[in-house]
Amino acid sequence: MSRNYPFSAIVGQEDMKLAILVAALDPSVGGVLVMGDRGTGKSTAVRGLAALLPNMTVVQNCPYGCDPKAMAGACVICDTQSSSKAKVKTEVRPVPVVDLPLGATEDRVLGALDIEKALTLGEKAFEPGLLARAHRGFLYIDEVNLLDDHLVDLLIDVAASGQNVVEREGLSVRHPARFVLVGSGNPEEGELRPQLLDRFGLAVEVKTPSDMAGRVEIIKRRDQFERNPEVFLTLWEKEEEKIRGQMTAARKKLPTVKADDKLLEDATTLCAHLGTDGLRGELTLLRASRAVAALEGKNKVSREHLKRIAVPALQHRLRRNPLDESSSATRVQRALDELFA
Amino acid sequence: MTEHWLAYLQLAQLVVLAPHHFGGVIVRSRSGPVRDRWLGALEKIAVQQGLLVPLRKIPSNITDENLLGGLDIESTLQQGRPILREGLLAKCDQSIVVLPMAERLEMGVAARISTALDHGRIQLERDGQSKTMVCRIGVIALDESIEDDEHVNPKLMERCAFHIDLDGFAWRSLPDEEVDKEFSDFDPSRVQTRLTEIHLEDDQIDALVGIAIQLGIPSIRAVQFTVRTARYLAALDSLWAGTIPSREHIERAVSLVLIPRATQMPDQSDDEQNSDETPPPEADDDQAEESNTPQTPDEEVLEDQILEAARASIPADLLARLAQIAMARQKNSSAGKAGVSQMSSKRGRPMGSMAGMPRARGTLSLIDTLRAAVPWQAMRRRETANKNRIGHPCVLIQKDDFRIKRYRERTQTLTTFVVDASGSSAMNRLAEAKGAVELLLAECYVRRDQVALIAFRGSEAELLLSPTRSLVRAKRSLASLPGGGGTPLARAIDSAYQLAKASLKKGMTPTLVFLTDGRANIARDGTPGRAQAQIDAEQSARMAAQVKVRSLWIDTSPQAREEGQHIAHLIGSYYLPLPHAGAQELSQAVIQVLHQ
Repeated sequence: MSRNYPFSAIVGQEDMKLAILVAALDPSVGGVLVMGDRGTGKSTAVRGLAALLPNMTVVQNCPYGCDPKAMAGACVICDTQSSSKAKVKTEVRPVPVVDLPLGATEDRVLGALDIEKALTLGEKAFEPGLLARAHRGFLYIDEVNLLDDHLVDLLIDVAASGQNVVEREGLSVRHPARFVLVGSGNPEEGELRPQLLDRFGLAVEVKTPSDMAGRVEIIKRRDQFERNPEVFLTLWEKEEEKIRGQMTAARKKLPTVKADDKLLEDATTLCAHLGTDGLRGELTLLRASRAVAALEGKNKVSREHLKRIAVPALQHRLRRNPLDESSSATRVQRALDELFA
Repeated sequence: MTEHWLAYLQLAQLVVLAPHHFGGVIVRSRSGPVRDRWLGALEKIAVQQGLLVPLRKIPSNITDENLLGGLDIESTLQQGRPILREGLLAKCDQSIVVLPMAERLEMGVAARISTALDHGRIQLERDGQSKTMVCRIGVIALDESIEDDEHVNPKLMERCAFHIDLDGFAWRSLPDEEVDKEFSDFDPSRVQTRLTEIHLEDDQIDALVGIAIQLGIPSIRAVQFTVRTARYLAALDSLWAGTIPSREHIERAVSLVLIPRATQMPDQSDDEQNSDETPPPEADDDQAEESNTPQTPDEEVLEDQILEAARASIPADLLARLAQIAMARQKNSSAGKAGVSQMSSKRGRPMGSMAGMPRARGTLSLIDTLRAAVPWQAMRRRETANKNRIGHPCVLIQKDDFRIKRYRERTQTLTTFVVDASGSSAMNRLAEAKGAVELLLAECYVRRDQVALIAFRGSEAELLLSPTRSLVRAKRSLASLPGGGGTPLARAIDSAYQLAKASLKKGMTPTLVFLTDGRANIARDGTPGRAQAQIDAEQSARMAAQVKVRSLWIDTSPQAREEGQHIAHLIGSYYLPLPHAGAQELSQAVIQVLHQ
C-alpha cells in the first residue's frame, strides 16, 4: 500500500497543523473539524497524523484494545479479568486511526453478528465494528458533511456517551468506544448538522495559499514525493522525528501544565463576550490552551497560548448573527483584539 | 481545428497510459458523431494498452452496493461462507470508467468516486465486510449540460486533469479518421522507463505556478496536473532524449490543463483573484501583480514566453466564456468556479433501504429484507429446531431483518426571495431580507431546502444568490447586496419566474417571496416612467400566473397600496402587508404561508 505524505512536509497551514496536534495530544479536547477549499491538504494532514502517534499498551487479545490501567468497567472481557487476581498480559499496538468511509453500512459502523461464523458454524458471535476499532484512537470522516443522516445520528450518540450499545438478534453487547472525532469537508457542499458540529472540540478553516512562494513549494514537494516516495520520506524522516519527539515530551508535560486564575478569567471573559452557548466552549478553550503550552514545553499557560487556539476552539460555537456578515473566525479574532489588546 | 483535435487525442493517450495519475477527462459535448468518434479513438487506444474494454459506465443513480461492493448473496448461499462482491469501482482498477450525463450525477456518488481518485483505493465497510481495495481509475465524465446552471460536480472537475469541449467541432472540419490511429501506437514500457528520469527544473515549475496565477486558477491540483502532463509528454515524445521536458512540452501541458480552467485573461491578471475572501478586483489595481510576486526577470521571461505560446491554443470561444464568467462574478461574488451549483438528485429517487419496521415510517423493501435475513438462516434453523420441533417456514425472518425503503424525503423546496433594492423605502428592508434569508437557511439543513435571492434595482433584476443550501455561499453573496435606484418590477417578476420554471424542471418545488412596495417605475425595456412600468409589471404578472408556483407578496410600503395588491392578485400570490416586519417576523411569515 502506498505510504502517506508526511505531516511535517505540508507547506504552511499552521493553524490546521496546530489544531490537529492539540487534538491528538489531549483527547479530552474533543477532536477537530477541518473545513476548507478543495485541494488544500485537509485529508493529507489527517492521514499524515497516523505516522506521528506513539504506540499504546493494551490488554492482550482484547478486541477493543482496552487500557490495562483502567480495566474495571471497560469491556466485558476486561471487566471480568480485572476482578481476578491474575496478572494481566499486555501488548503494544499502534494508536488506531480508523477511516469511516462514505457508503459504510450501519452494521459495520456499530458492529453486528459475525456473518462468517453464522454461516459456517451457525453460531452467534459479535463482530466489532469501526467504532470498536477506533476506541482510544481516532475516527476520521472525510466528507463529513455528506455522511448519511442515520449514521450521523449513531455517531452523535456514541461520541457523547463513549459507549456503544448493540442490541441485535438477541445479542446484547456494550463496549467502550471513546475516540477522537476528526472530520473534514468542503463547506460549500452543505452544512454540518449543529449537533454533530458541537461534538468537535476544535474547528479550523483552511484556504489555498495565495502567495507565489508557498504555491511553488507545494508543487515541488508534491512532485518529489510522487516521483520517488521512498527518498522523499527518508528526507523528511528527521522532521517527522522532531514532531514525534515534541509530542512525546508534551504528553509527559501535559498533566503538570498549570493554568492560573487570571487565565481562567480570560477564558470566561472571552466566552461571555462572544456569547458562546454552555460551558463546553470554556472547557475546550482551557484544555486546548494547556495542550498548546505543553507542545511548547512550557509549565504555565500564557495568554499567548490562549490567543493562538481561541479561534479554532470557539468559532463553531458562536450563535449565528444574521445581520453580521463577518465570518465567525473574524468575530473571535475581533473579540481577542478588543479584550486582550 | 485539426490541431485541437490532435491535442484531444493526445490527452486520450495520456489518460489511458496512467488513468489514476490524471484523474480523467470532463468531456463537454452533446451526444453526437464528434463525441462518438473521440470516445471511439479513446477506446481503441485503451484496447491497445490492454485496458478493460468496453469501458464500463456508471449510471448517475448507482447504488452503493453496485458502486462499492457488498455481500454476494447468491455465492454466499452456495458456498456457505461470506463472499464479497466487488463494486464497479474496484472492478475497474487500472482502467477507465465512463460517467454518462455527469451533470446529473448525485453528490454522494461523485464524492465516492472522488475518494477513489484521491487515494487510488476504496475502503469497503458494508454488509459485515471490511476490505480495502485497490482502485486506480480514471473517469471520462460526459457533460451534456445545456443550461448555465448545470455543471459537473466541482469535486470531479477539480480531480480530472483535462476539460475538453467538443461542441465547437463541426464534423466536417475534423481530419481524416486515419489520424486517430496513430495515437494508439506507442510503447508503454518505454514511456514508463523514460518517465523515471524526467523531471522539471525549478524555474519551469516557478513559471507554471506563475501562469496559473495569471490565468486566475486558485487550485494547486491544476498545477500538479500540468507538471505531470509535461513529464508524460516528454516521455511519450520519441524524438526527445533529454531528462528535462522541452519548452514545447511545457507549452502543450499548459494548453491542455491550464487554459481550459482559465477564469481570466492573463493580461488582466491580478493576485487578488486567488483569495476567496477578497471581493472581485477593481479595474484600477491591475498593477498589483507586479509588486506581489517576487520573481526574477528571468523567470518572468520564461513564464511570459510559455504563456505567449499557449495563447495560440486558446480556443476562439474562450473570450466569450471569460466574458460570461466575468459577468457571473459580478452577479455572484464567489470567486472562480468555487461557487458553481451542486447537482444532486432533487427528485424523489429511491435511496436504498435502512433498518426499521414498516409501520408509519415507510414501506417494506422486500428484497432487502430477504437479503438481510438470508445469511442467518443456518443459525436460526438450528435454534428453532432446538426450541420446538414443529416444522418451520422456509425463510426465518426476524424483527431485525426488516428493511424499509428510503426515498429522498420529499422534493426539495426552493425559496426564492425577490427583494426590492430600489432607492425609496427599500434601503432599510434590505437588512431584514438578508436576515430572513439567513434565518431560513439555518433551518434548511433539517428541511433539506434551498434558498435563492433575486434583487432588483435600477434597470436590472439580478440573481444575487443562486439556489443553495450553503450558508457560506449565502453570506458571501448577501454581503455584496447593493441598494438604490429605480424599481424594475416587470423584470423582477420575469426573472423570478424563469428561475422558478428552471427549478420545477429539476423536480424541485419552488416558492417565491416578493419583498417590495410594488411601485414600479422602470419599464421592461429599462426606460423610466411609472405608467408604462405598471403596465409591463401587470403583463409580467399575468404571464407568471401561468406557472403554478406558490408565492407570497409582502408589501413593505408604510401604507398598503393598490398597485402592489393588484399585481399580487394577478400572479395569484398571497398578499401580506408587513410595513415594519423584522427578519424574524419575515421568516416566520414565510414558513407559515409557504411551508406548512
